[in-house]
Amino acid sequence: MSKNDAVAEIVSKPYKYGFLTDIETEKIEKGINENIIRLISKKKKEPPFLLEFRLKAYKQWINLKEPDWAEIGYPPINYQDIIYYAAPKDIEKKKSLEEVDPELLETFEKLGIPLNEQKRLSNVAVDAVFDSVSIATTFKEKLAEDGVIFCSIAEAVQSYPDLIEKYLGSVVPKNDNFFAALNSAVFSDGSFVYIPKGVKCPMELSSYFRINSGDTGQFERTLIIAEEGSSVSYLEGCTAPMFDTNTLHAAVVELIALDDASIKYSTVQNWYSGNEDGKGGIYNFVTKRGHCRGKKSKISWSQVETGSAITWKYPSCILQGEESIGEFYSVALTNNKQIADTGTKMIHIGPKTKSTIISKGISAGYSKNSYRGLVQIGSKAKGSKNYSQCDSLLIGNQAEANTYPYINSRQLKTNVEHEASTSKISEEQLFYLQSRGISNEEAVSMMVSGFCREVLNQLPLEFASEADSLMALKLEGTVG
Amino acid sequence: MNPQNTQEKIDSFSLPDRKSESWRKIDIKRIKQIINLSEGEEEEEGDNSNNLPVIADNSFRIILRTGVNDIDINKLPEGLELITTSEIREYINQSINKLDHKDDWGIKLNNKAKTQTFGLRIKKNNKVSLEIVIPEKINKLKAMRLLFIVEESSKFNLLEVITGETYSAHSVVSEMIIKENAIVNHGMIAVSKGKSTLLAKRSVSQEINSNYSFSFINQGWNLSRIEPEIVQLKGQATTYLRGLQIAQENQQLSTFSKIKFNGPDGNLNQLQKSMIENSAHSIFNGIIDVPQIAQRTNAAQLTKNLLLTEKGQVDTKPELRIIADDVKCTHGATISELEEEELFYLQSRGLKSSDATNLIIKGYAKDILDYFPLKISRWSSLNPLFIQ
Repeated sequence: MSKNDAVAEIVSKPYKYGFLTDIETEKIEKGINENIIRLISKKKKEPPFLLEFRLKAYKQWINLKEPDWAEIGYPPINYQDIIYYAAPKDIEKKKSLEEVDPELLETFEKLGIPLNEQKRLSNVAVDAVFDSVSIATTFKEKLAEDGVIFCSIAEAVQSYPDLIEKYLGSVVPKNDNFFAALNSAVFSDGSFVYIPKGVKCPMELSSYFRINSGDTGQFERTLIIAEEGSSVSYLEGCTAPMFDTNTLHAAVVELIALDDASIKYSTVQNWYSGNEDGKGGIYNFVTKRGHCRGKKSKISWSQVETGSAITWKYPSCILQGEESIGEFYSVALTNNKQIADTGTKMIHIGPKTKSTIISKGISAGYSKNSYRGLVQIGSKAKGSKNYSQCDSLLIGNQAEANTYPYINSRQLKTNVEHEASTSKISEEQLFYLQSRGISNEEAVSMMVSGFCREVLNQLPLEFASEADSLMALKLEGTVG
Repeated sequence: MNPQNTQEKIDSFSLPDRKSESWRKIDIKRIKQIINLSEGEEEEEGDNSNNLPVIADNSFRIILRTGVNDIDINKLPEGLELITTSEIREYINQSINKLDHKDDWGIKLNNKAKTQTFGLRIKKNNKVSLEIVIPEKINKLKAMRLLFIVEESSKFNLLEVITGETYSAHSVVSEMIIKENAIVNHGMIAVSKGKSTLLAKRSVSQEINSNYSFSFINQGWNLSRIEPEIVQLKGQATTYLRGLQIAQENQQLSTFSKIKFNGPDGNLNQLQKSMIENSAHSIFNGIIDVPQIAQRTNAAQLTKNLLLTEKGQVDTKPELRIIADDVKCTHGATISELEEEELFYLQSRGLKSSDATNLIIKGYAKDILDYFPLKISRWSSLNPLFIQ
């Protein structure tokens, strides 16, 4: 097998999560207007402040323009042709899992996320979101012993409205951008995490997002608050069935870290990416932002982006607290006609803040993979440091790798370093490995895996089931 | 020289689109000042020809004044030839079009103004060293359009000196067509005293096996925008870009470079350095475009910024667009202050603090200044750093 064949095989493994669950869902009519928003809010029995939040966001959204600066080039989205709320029927949050539709449990089991008591992943609490609603959250009681709140946003709105009112939209304002405003108006569900003062969360928290309906947009909202001296590691996974239409996913994630708190947020994004000709797939337009409010707080983003027709997201850190730390570790793999435009923003406001950016892009087929990042050092960020590294690996001569690292500094006492490289799989290295008796395929796989190692090392071990989707792409660990 | 008098007044000229990435950071108030300048009559030319330094050995000097044809064709050195106006028209926009400039504001402004054109041909197999001095028009806008055709296997050393002392503005668009096997060493000293504005586009197209080196110093403008744009028509050429930007007081200096490889086996080495003092603002934007055809391209870009005072501001943005897979492209960027350790070392050897700082700065600038043609130490009245 020639080198190119081996590479082609490795990067074009079929999508194994493309099945559709046949389940009766309740959907509202297509389109977006004030009545739809009132209806969503009513269905979720929301307090008045939240309805107001949604309506204000909607009014602002109407006046916002869909951004085009990234030159991503997708056909216009008809926002009136999307269903903004879909839920499996009778899914009023069940007290125990036995009451949950077995079909749903089976779906998540197929995805490698067993929700059943016996089969649960040890030491990982899971919130499973199916289309617009949260199906189940495991280990809730155990977490509650430590005062940790882990539930769906909808539940949090009912049980902890004060926290929601205080923090929702405080990091990503409702009019932050076009897609964040849309999300603020129609967000359906998502996860809510609250770690009280001084608590180290005893287990990994994880949300699993599944889009099932083809005509439904998914607009989940995640809010994580880490009080003083607390810490948490949160994992997020995503899959969707194969449809030949494009589905919009516009999520908003807000993280807040107070003094000495630390949040680690990991994502394995494996939405359906469309077929070889680029038909179908998810438009993944996400706003993720963390706010290091407290002194010595830390927010770390790690992501493995392998799915979606178009990924457009920049998980960012606002480093306000003195000596706060922001990190961004990313692997983005694109194939066929996928587009990934991803990167981060590190906004240094407070003194002695530090940030690290490690981004690895792998583009194969006819795909387009861009790193776009901003490092901004404000005038008060004395003694701040940033180190950025973004490397690209090109496989095949039709793929595109772009790098747009932007640095803005207004402070003398800083140190900003950026380096980047673009290269292909080196013939010499490949030859060397093969001469040691390693097959072509394994050699390529080893090299890709070595290329991503710095990032993959950041993923929590417990993310085993999600890392599995990586294995499917043979990015990692196929060599015994 | 051929002034074009048919142009309408530029007063009504619209401002650049601030939403476009390349104008986003530019202080629009300073752009307005240019538009409000009128275009001067001939006799208002600033004449500093008496203060010019001696001409470098084996070289020739041309002073480009508006509307004054003081170039004696008979005195041109061997190998140089004036290009006729009709020929300039034929060639103009050739390299610019290759870089997809449809709505470039700087070119539009240059076209709208009363533009002077001037063109030179460096004939095959010749070696020519030339110094071109472009003085300002006192308190006025001066627009120039230059064309250089560097023929096969010739060797061309060019030093451009652009200056300004008053509230004047330069709009200089130049094109250089470099044929096969030609070697060009191009230096540009663009130094002002804080009030003038400079908009300089340097569009270059390179044939195979050509070698183009462009070194420039950008200093002291109220607003400057230097845009070196190079296209390697069929690849297989070598390009060096070395820029030094010294921003002081409240100046806003910028460099927007763009390098496009339209064929395989091209080489690029780019080094951009900035020093920022007071509340000055230094901007760098560097595009490297490697399409699929440009296999085996080897391109390196490095940006270094030295912040010398608390209030300075730096914006740096490399942009790499790569489709070819068999390439080596690297880029790096740093922003830092003077190294305490270096200062300490020098002081421990008995240097005064100010002398130590100066020595480090001198070394910092040396990486760029070393590559200028025609002994720039002659121009040390513009910047003492030129004496290395």
